[in-house]
This record gives sequence, C-alpha cells and structure tokens, in this order.
Amino acid sequence: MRAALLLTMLFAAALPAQELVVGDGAPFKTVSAAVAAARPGSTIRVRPGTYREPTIEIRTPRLRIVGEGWPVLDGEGQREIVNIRADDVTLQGLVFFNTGIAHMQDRAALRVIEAARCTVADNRFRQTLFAVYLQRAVDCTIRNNDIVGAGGGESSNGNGVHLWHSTGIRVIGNRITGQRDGIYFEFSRGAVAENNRSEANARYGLHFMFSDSCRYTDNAFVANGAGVAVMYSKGITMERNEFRDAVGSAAYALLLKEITDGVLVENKFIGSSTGLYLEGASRFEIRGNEFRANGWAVRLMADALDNRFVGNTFEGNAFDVATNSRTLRSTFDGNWWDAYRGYDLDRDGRGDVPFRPVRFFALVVERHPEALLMLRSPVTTVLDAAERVFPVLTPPLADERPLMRPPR
Amino acid sequence: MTSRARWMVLIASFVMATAYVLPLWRVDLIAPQYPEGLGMYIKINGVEGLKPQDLNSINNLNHYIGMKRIEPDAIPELRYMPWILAGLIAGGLAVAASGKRLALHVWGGALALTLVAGLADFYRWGYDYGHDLDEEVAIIKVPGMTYQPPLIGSKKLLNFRATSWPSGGGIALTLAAGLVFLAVLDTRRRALLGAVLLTAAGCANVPPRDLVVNQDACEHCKMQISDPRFGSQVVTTTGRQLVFDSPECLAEFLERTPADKVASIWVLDVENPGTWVSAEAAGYLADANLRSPMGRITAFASPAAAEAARARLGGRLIDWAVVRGGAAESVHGGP
Repeated sequence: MRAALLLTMLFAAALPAQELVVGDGAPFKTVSAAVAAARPGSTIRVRPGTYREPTIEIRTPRLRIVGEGWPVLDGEGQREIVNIRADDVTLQGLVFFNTGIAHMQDRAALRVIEAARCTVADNRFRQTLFAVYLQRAVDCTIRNNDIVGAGGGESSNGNGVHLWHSTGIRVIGNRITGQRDGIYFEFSRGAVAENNRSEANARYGLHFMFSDSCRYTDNAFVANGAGVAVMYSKGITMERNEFRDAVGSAAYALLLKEITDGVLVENKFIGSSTGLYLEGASRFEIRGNEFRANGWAVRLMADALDNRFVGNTFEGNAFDVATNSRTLRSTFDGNWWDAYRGYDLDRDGRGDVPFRPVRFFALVVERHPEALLMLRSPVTTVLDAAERVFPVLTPPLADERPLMRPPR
Repeated sequence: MTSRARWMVLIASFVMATAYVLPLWRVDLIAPQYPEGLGMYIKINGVEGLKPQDLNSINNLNHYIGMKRIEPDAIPELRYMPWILAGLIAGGLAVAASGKRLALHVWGGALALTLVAGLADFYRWGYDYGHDLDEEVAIIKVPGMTYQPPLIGSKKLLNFRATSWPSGGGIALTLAAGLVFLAVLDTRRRALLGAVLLTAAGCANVPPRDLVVNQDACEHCKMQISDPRFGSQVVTTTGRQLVFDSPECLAEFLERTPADKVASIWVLDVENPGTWVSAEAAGYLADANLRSPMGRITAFASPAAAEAARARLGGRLIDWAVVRGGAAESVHGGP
C-alpha cells in the first residue's frame, strides 16, 4: 500500500506542470473545484470576477494560484477565505474581501497552518479581520501585499500580518493600514520585516512578543495608535526605520520592554509624544538615530541597563532624556544635542564640558505627570535654573563629550 | 525622611515659588457708586490695583476719612519679603536634597514662623491704616469709627463692603505649608498619614472602571489596551484603578505588589466584552484557541462557563490560584 502511494507520488511528480483555469466560461467555476482537481506543482489561473465559496482548503504542495485582473475572493462576512496546509504554495494577484467579524475566533482571510516555504505576493486584502495569519509556518515570504483593514479599532479588529510560532518568515514591501497591529510577530524566531509601510493602525505599526533573533529594517511606521512595541524578546536588530507621529498618553514611537541585546541604528524618531521608551531593556547599542520634535525623545527607566547611546541627534524635543531614577546604568557618549551650550576650545569637534540631558523638571514630571501643566511656566524656568546651579537632584547622567555639530 | 516626604517638600518649594507671580491677597471694595468695583492685589513685592486706576481711586477715597496713602515704596516689607521667600525655597530644596529629619523640622518651623509673622505684620499694617487717621485732613469724621480692613472675610466700612481673601500666591503658600505639615507627619507617623489620606480620599469601596479601548495602557507591560475581551483591573486601597491588558499582566503585577495595597481584583469576561468579574470568582482557560495580548490565558464569568467554552476553544481549565501563581511561566513560556 505504501509502495503504491509512493509510486503515485513519483508519477505525479513526473507529469508536466498542469494549468487549470477558473472563471466564467472556463473549465472550473470555483477556485475550490480547481484546487481539488490540481496535482502538486499545478498552476491555477483565476479570471476576473467575484468568487463566493466555502473556505478554500489547500492541501496540495507546490500549487500556484494566480489571479488575473484582480479576481475577488469574497468571504461574505462569514468565514476565512483561504487556508494553506501544504508546502511551497504561492498565492498571487488575488483580492481577499470581507471576512466579517468574529468575537470568539481570530478569523483570518488567509491562514497558513504548519506549512513551509509559502509565497504570498502582490495580493490585496480588504475588510479582513486578520489579513495574513501564519501559524507554525516556516520560511514563508509575504511580499508587496496591500492590506486595508476595516478600521474603527474597538474589538472588531485583528492584525495585518500575524506570525504565531513561525520561523524564518520574511515580510517585505507590504502596505498595511486600518488593522489593530500592522505586523505582529508572536513566539516567532528569525523573522525579517523590510521596506513595509504600516500606517494608521489602531494599536501598533509593528509588534513583537517573545520573538527572538528578528530583524526589521527600512520600514516606515506612521501615525499608529500607540507606535511600535518590541517586547519580551532577545537579539533584535532595528535599522533605518522611520517612526513618526505616535501621539497620545500611552503612545511611544518605539517601546522597548523586557528585551535584551539588540541594535537600534540610524532610525528616525519624529513628532511623537515619546520617541523611544526603554523599560527593562538592556545591552542595546543605540547609534546614529535622529530624534526630532518629540515630546520626550528618550524615556529611560531605572531598570534599563547598560545601553549605549552614541552619535545620535537630538533636536527640537521638549525633553531630550527623562528618567524615573537617580541611578542609571546607561551611557551617553558623543551625541549631538541642540540644547548644548558648551564650547570646544581644543577644536576636536567635542564639547569641553559635559551635557546633562535630563532636565530637572523632566524628573518631576516622570513621578508626577500632572506637573506637566507647569511646562513653560516661570516656576519651571526657576527650577531648571536652580538645578543648573545646584545639581543635587537630577541623575548624574551626562554626555561627557557631546558633538559640536550634528553627525552626517 | 521618607522619599515621599522629600518629594512633598520639593513640591512645596515649587508651589511656594508661584508666590513670585501670583498675588498673595486680594482686597475688594464694593459700593453703589463704583458699580464695577474697586480692589487691590497685595503681591510679595508691591501693592497693585485690580484695574490700573484702582489704587489711585482707593487712595482718593481714603483721603476723605483721613487715612494715609498706600505707597508701595514706603512699605519696607515689600522689599525684603521676596528675599525671605527665596531663602525659604532654597531651604526647602536643601531639605529635600539632604533628606535629614532634623533639617525638615528646623525648616518647617522656620516656614511656620514666617507665615505667622507675615500674617501678623499684615494685620499690624491694616490696624495702623485703619486707626491712624489724620483729623486735620479728614472730611468725613465719625467719632469712634475705625476703618481697619478685615484680614480674611468681609466687613462693612461706611457705605463700602470690604472683602479680603488670600489670592493665588497666598493659597499656594497655604498649600505648601499643608504639604510640609504632611511631610512632617509622614516622617513621624506613616500610619497616621495613611489614615489622613484615606479619609481625605473617602475611598472605601471603589468599583472597577470601564476600559477606554485604544487609549488606556496596561499598567504592567505598557501596551495600549485594544482588545476589550481580555482586560483586567486592580483597585488599590487608596482607590486607584489600575488597568491591565490581560490576566497574565495582572498576575505579574500582583506578584510585585504587597497584598495590603490591593482592595479588589477584576477580570473581563471574554464572552461579554466590558463585563467585570471578580478574579477569584472567574474561570480561566489556558492555551485556548483565543489568545490574550500576552498569549496564554482567557477569562470567563465562572469556572462552569470556562468549561462550557472549552468544548469549542480547547485549552486547559485552570483556577485563579494557578493564574496568579504561575505568572512567570505563563507570560514568558509560550506553548
């Protein structure tokens, strides 16, 4: 019996690639029918039209489903649209439409279940609770998809690209908006996010939980409800991303929480309530980033240890650095601060007197947020002046060799 | 000194600094012939009319009864009061910095003395103005009549009603004195302060509050709360309502918080978004097909409801003690 099965599989593999066409007047009327008839390695071409059918279950490996002229797969507000349970499946050029809302289920337009090497490229997702959900998937690529969630926030919203217990996933060049989290890596290792644009999602543009050894570069995270959160993870590389316009009392352009050993290099933090928030975040190299026009550029909590800030630019922030403690174990060396008023007599490009980036008032606000009412009041000016003369209360945190000119 | 007391002293010092900008006292004179009212502000370094011409008008009126002109430049206190206040503020900063109990007591005593002396001095000036009338100049003479303005409150003077109350700066100084008093209490008897604060807050049985979805942040993990199916909440003995995004974060928080600070603990019923259930009475599923923001635990109205849902959602039924005790693994482990 086993030999027969093996023979059948060999025979199937030896056949030339089969092509099946779905559409009006084509051999197959529904995608499901074509999928049922397909052999491993087949290509299914889906012609323009709207397809209303039960959840399409793909169990055939090496299948390619290619949409021509944006065929719409309609979930009619009732169900998941495609489930992939086989390896090496490719989906391209499809429109996934309307999964509806489910309160007791994380309903996804496209769910990949325990499959390897899938490719999900150049598709559109509209009004989907979760758009792409990878569950125990391996080495898949999610590329150039356009995802527009139902918006609205509240409970009726899922994530754009969601990874759960998946390994080696690449998320590249997608545009995601109107979801809860744009991209969410949960219990996943070795994932990469590159060149995505995640904008106006209800919570985070990108969210990491318990996901080690991941990398995200060259992404733009704009006007998401609470910014970007990287939490409970190790070994994360973050380079050349842009974090903008995360505004609100619980919003951080980038929240690093319970996370160790990472690099944060050449990112831009612009126009947010808080640029970078570190709590329980340790051993990070924070180099060459720009912090512009934020309320707080950096909020460094007492339990953030051994972080190094080097060659960053701080410009036009209400507070450059705030902290909740007098004892800090992070260092600042050779950053550029627009508030620095020192001089450089030996002309080595470094200021001759240290810069203390923590304003006294920032410390007060950290402990008593209501005091923020007094920002720009004469009392605050008096306080800051008093503290400059008699620095006993602010943390002994200083950039000993501040740059005289902005880097780059 | 406790660090709380040091903060109180520090804040008291800042609050005192507002007396440089806000007037200490306000005196109003109300009479039918001045429908828009007359009045003056007593500031730390001067006396000013409420409106530019008020002081002049008051001096002209006072002239009828033979009262001396109010000349701010002729009052020496107004010259040295700013310096006394500066000294007190500097002292306060020093006390907060040093954290020494003795320093707090010496400085607190000096502050109290200064405030009492200031009030006494103000009263003395009022008495002097009201009684030392020039019989030669006075046009209106009422035998036995004096015109001392009240220190606090209202008083009828001829056809004027004079009202005198502390203004922003005076209130600030009072508040500061109150804070320092609390700081002294806090340093001496913490329990006493607790009782005072508790009574003040009047917060015996505070109910849990509603979540503000997409606005509240989890007290423990700082994540914005965006899924109302999984929230949880602690009401503290001082009446603070702390919200969390998941039962896991609640458990982590409880692990680090002394039990005597917690008044009540609540979780949301996943089947009825927005409905609070006492954490002890609720039922829980671990590793069900629904995942909280922390990935593991889902709460139901009761253990029976959780068991009923397990048929559809899978997972394991666990009770509150496990949720609470197994916080570390459930948050950091993952299936």
